[in-house]
Amino acid sequence: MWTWFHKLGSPPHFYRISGRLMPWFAVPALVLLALGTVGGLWWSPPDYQQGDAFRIIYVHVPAAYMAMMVYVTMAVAAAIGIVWRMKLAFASAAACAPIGAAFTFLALATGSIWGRPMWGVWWDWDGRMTSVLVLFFLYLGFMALRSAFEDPVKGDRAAALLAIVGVVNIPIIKFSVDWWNTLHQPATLSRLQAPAMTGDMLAPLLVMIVGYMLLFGAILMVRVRGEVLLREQGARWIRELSPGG
Amino acid sequence: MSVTAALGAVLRREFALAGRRVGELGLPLVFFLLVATLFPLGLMPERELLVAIGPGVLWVAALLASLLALDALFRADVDDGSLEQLVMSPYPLPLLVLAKAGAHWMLTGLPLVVISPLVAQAYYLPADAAWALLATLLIATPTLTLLGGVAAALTAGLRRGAALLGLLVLPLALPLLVFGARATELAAAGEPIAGPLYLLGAMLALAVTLTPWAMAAALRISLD
Amino acid sequence: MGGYGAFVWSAWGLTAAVLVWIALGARRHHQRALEATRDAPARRASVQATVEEVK
Repeated sequence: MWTWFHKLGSPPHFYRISGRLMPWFAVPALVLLALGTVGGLWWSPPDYQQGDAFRIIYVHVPAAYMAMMVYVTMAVAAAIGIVWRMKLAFASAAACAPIGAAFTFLALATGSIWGRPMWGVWWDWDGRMTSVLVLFFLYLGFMALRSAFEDPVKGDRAAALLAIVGVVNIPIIKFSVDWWNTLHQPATLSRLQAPAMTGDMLAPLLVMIVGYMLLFGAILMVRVRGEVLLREQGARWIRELSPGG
Repeated sequence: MSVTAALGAVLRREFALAGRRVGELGLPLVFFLLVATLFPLGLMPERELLVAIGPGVLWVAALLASLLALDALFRADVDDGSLEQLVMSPYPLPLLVLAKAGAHWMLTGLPLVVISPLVAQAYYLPADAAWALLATLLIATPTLTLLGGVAAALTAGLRRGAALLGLLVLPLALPLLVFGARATELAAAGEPIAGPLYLLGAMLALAVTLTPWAMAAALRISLD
Repeated sequence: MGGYGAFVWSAWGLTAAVLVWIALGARRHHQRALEATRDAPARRASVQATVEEVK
């Protein structure tokens, strides 16, 4: 187990393995996303309350789920980097941030598009939306702090510490926003009920979530490969790479 | 020198330095008063409106004023190299930075807390709400200083760190604003506020126990 | 799409656009890193050459 861990942690080894593994994530991701799209848009029946607007759930929920999952992944990678000074962990945390920010943006944007027909407004100070917005700012802070350092090693470590502080704070933020929201429940807007999902509605959602996860894995690998190259400039193993990369 | 003596030395130094630049010290306080003045001017000085927005506005003003002061927490000490001495000293760094943050709060946070009931009068807040504002600020501003201290320590080595500070601190400080402003509002409506006060207290306890370590680690990274 | 077509399609379109954008962004990031590392030894060599010339 440990030798495996060490081996994967070595940049040249990771670079080689990830190059070979990447298509095994990307291709199933594309297949599942296509399947989920067809299933979500055509095969699943319209919701009896929301009609066809509920179909946005198939792109909204996976994005919101990934927004959180990627942040946790980033914080775990950051913690591993801080504790074991592992270059690959810092590279992963750095690679997670822009992808996570993109998922968070998607969760907010699709939520807003969903909100317009359902609530009549583009934005509602709903507890969930507000905490996702804060999550978006946490991603921005991580990226801004990391790029503010001239020395990338320092930037990595500082941003990693920030990610850890953020992940401790997220449950508190979530709790506070929920508490705030229950005090100010706007009565005029009809709440969005979590639709009681039947099997034929749920299946495309699960397919989409798995598709998003695999896509995240594939994109993450490509980004980590880039980060590894940037961090290992001039190392012998890079000069020995075949021109095909 | 024992650890307590070292802590005393840190505190004495902070107060002595603060005594030499009193003008700079008053700046966050003036900023707080200014922001509080701007809202009635920008909106309408009607009694009902001010009572309705008062708790939120005063809390946001206090938050921004504390943010303004935060950059000074480590900046000067980084520039003159005394922070490096602190890091290299044989005493536990988390305790030393806790003392530093404590001194910073007494010098910038406490004046704000003390003056807040007076400003609350200008917003026609009832006495209960004014006291609630004082109580919530008293419990929450130390937490804010500690949380902000982590961000200040992370950006201490950066030339343009002050601009980053807001982006790093404000999302993390959001729970303080929520509970603090809401508690003040509840008090204005004559409702009990023990719940949010306990929660703010819990956050302070959490911050006191965890952030000194984060601050120490952040300083080690910044000065590395 | 029962009157909601515009919303549903724009949500899907936006998602597709952003996902493609981050995927291409990752590819570009990797390619640029690859070029930077390819250039790195060459740059070092040219610096060494100038030092040789000075001598």
